[in-house]
Amino acid sequence: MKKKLIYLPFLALIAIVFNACMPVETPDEVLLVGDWTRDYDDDGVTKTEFYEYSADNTGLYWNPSENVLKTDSQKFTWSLDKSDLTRINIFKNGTPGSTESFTITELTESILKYEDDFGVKYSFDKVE
Amino acid sequence: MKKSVKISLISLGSVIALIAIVIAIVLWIVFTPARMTKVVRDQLPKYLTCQTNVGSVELTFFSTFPEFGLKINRLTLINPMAGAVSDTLLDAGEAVCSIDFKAFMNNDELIINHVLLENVTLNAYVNKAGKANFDVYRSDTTQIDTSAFENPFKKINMKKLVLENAKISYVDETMPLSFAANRLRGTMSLNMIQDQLDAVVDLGSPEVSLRYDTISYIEKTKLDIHFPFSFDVGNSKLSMDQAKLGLSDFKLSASGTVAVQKNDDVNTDIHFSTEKYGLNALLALVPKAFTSSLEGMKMDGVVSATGTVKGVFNEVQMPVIDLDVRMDKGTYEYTSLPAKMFDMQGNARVNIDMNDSLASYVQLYDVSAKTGQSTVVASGEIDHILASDMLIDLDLDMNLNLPELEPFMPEDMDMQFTGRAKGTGNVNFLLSDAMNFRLDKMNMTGQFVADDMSLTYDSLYLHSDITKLKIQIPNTGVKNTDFMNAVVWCDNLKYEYGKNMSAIILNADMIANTTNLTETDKLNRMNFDVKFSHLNGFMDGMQALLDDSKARMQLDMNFNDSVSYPTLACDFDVRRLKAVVDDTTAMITEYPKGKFSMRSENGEPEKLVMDVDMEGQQTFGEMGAQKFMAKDVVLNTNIIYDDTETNTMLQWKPTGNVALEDGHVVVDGVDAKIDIPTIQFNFTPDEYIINDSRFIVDDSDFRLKGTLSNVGNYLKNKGLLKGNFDFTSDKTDVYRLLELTNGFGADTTEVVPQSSDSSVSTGPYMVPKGVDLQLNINIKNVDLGFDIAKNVLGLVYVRDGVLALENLRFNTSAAKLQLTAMYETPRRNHLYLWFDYHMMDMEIGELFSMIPSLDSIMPMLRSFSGKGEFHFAVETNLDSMYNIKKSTLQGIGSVKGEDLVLMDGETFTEIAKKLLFSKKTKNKVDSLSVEFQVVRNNVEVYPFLIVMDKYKAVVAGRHNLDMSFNYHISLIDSPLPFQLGVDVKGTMDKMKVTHAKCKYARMYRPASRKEVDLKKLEIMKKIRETLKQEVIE
Repeated sequence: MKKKLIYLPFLALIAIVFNACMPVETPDEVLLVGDWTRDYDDDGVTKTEFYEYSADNTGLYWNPSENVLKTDSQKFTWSLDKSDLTRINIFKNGTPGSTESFTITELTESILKYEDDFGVKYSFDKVE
Repeated sequence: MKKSVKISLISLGSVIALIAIVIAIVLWIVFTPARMTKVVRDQLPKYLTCQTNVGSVELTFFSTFPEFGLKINRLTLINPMAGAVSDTLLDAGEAVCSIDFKAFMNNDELIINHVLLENVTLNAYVNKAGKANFDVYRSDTTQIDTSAFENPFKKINMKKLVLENAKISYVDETMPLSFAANRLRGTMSLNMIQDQLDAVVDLGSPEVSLRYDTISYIEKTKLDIHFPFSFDVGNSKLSMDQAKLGLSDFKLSASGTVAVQKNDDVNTDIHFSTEKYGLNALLALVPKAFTSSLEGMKMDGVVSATGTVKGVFNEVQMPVIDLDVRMDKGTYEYTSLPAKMFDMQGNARVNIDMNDSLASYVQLYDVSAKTGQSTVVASGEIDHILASDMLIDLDLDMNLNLPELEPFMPEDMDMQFTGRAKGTGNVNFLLSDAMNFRLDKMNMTGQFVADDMSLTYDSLYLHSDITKLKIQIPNTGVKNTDFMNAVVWCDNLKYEYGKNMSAIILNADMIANTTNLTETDKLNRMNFDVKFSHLNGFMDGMQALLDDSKARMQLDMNFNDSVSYPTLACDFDVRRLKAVVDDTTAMITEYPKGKFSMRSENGEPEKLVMDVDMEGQQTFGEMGAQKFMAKDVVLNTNIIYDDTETNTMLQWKPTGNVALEDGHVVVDGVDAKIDIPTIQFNFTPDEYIINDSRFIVDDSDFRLKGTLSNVGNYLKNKGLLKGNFDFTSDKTDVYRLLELTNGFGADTTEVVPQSSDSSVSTGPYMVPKGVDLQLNINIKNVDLGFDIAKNVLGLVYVRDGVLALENLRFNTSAAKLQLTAMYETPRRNHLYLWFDYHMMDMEIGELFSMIPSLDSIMPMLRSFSGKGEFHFAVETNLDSMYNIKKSTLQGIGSVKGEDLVLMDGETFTEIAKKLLFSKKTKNKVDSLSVEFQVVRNNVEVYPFLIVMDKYKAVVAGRHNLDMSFNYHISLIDSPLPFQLGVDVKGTMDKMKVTHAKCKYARMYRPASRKEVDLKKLEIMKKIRETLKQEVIE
């Protein structure tokens, strides 16, 4: 028994270390609703993009860094199945366009993190 | 002297002296005055009923030598009568009379040698009852003497009757008439043998007055009469010869006869003449009652006349007076006449026939008058001068100094003239018509030539070097415009109205026929035939030039109608017409001709309606650097002008059609050759219908048919300008057309980036705004730059800043294509592009030349060769340099192909090596079906099967726009006894191919295998369905 207790710290460490990479089992949709932003690097240029998730499962995307204002924003629909976030971007003519799939790894009132199938990670801050 | 004669004379004188002594003794002793006076005093009451006073009566010899005479000193007859001037009827201071008693006694001859009446006062009076105070002769009233006059003497001869210092007053209240003469003197000689009386009467008085009724005809005026006459008593015929009447300075000489017929008619035949006399002095003799109509007039001159008085005078007839009057040095002024006339001269014949009011007339012979520097000569006739209305018929010869017309203009018209006018004319009118300005009742003709004539009125200025005017009233024989005909010619007419309007017209020739323009309350018609060789007009910055023009106009207007527009119909024929507004020029150089009409809209008089039918063989227009030229322009239009519309553009509502041939357009800033070989279109205020047209724009050649509509709302900023056209072309340079339409209707307030190189476009193509155009495209050849698109069919929309291509189908050398696209330009630095691009029978290698950016999105396609099908729907925003805004890029696509060739290369070699491909493996790809999507920086390629020889592999992965990639390839079927997989990562420069665990199981089929990620399958299915919806078979 004592020998088994020795593994507990390792298990705890493993749990802590790998917690960030583990999908959130059932993220709260309500927490997702709102505006999220992040800065990212685009060929050495730092840009800022915004996502707005509405409760009716629609959303907007804009990027002021590229002179794309909220009034110019791109529409999408979103769905959350457990930790799987799917965004279907809508062409301006109303027909569906590209589809993006992510796995949410963290969702709090102020933090949103997800990664795609290729392991690319994204981290957003809630816009107050 | 001989002695015998001397003795004879002395003897005769002695005898005479002896006789005189004897007579003196007899007179003083036998016929004493006392005795003679007593005799007369005793006899007078026997003959006179009134009181008589006789001073003394004496017999004279020496004072009446050689006859004895009777001299009465102070004979007074007194016969008081109420109303008479005096109780004294007659008061003779001295009366001397000598009679040839011998002849009287022996021969029954009454020969009065001498009668002298001095200091005589006569007050004759007839009261209203007809009783005269001079009716004092005591007669036998029991018998009325009805016998004819019979001369009791064989001869009556009064050698001389002298009247000195007489004062005569005669008042007859039955008429009423009064006559008075003071200091009257006169002589009379008379000889009557049987019925023939010859006499000479001379009378003179410095003060004669004559009053009849209430009018004083003569007032203390000098009167001289010399009246030699003979009177045939039996025939009651008076004859006179050179009788003279002098009234003041007026002297008249008359000869002729006056005969009383048995029926009491008086036949007159008198010739008379006057000396020259002053008109002013004569008028002074005319009773004021007769000169009231001359009030305000001043006239003078030297007048003389000769004439006759002929005809019967009785109760119903008057003799006719015929006068020849001569006037010289006449002057005339009238307070209402602003000019003084002088040097009036001429002859006139005046015929006065009071028996017929219409028979009297005045005939003028070259009667001339000057006023200022003007001269008028009149000849002709004035009829009906005694009637209520005179008829005037005059020929006029005028030489007018036009400034002298200024005072004749209405007071409220401040007009100034310069120049001279010469001409002749004829006027024929009733005076009443002239006084009442009834020009339509008058006849007037005239022709004038004016030199250096100018007219200034308010802001109007007219000048002509030479002006010819011919006018005729009425315009006989011309229906509807029978009032006036005027022909005007000006060699060089200058016209100015204010500072903003002017014109110079050369050889202007106008014929005008009008209705009565003075009837301003009626609808007047004016017909004009106008010709001129050149017109150069300016108005508010606009210039109009016309050469060799002629027009025929009909103008109907009511001058009092301030609401309705005049009705005008005009045919015009011009050799050259040019209009210039600022930097805009419109010119028709080859005989523009047509019709123009204007009128008020029926029932809406405030609206102007115009019709223009015009054609011109050669038309040219220019606005700054923009030019337009065409041949055979035909315009037929109806235009309604509604000034209640606030929008200036909308005030004009045109309807009609235009056709032209061989048009050429030069647009400022557009370096393009634009030709319009033909166009024919109809238009309304809201719609333009192009029935046929052909345009050649540089290398593009197309025809347009269709409708441009909603123009009204567009001009009101209430809607889009809508168009629906069939665009048919053999060859179209799309890029050139886009360049030409770039930015039409764009917001001009947006800042446009400036380029230092003016030859380089300074921004993106901005889709026209404010328009909603649809083009049904049918183009045989479109130059794409890199290829020729053939048989292009489909729709093109330009809708308020959005350019859309709908189902555009065409062929290129590489593929059959179908394109639906939308291009929107909300901001110059924020453009939007969406397109759905479907290529069939496509040479994959040609994709990159058609879509250069595909090199970034699907670089792997460069590895394939052969024909396939490519379908790509994508949207993105672009900046002003057409750079993709990657954050907005998203799209979906698919590539299908069979029997492709996988190009040899290091990449393939390395991958094949890792997958243990046989060296004999042919790089032929049996089939390829790829779905992919683009999201911002990433291009995700969904799993697809590639078959090469005996090898089947599934490929999937992601490609980034930074040209890095991450692919996985699973070999799912091969001769190998095991599965192999590789990951291909990195960039093309640093690519790593490493063995990896197969992600896809053996015999995997991307679209059917259950084990594949269902979500991805759904996405792939959605992509296929979405793309398929856009495909037209």
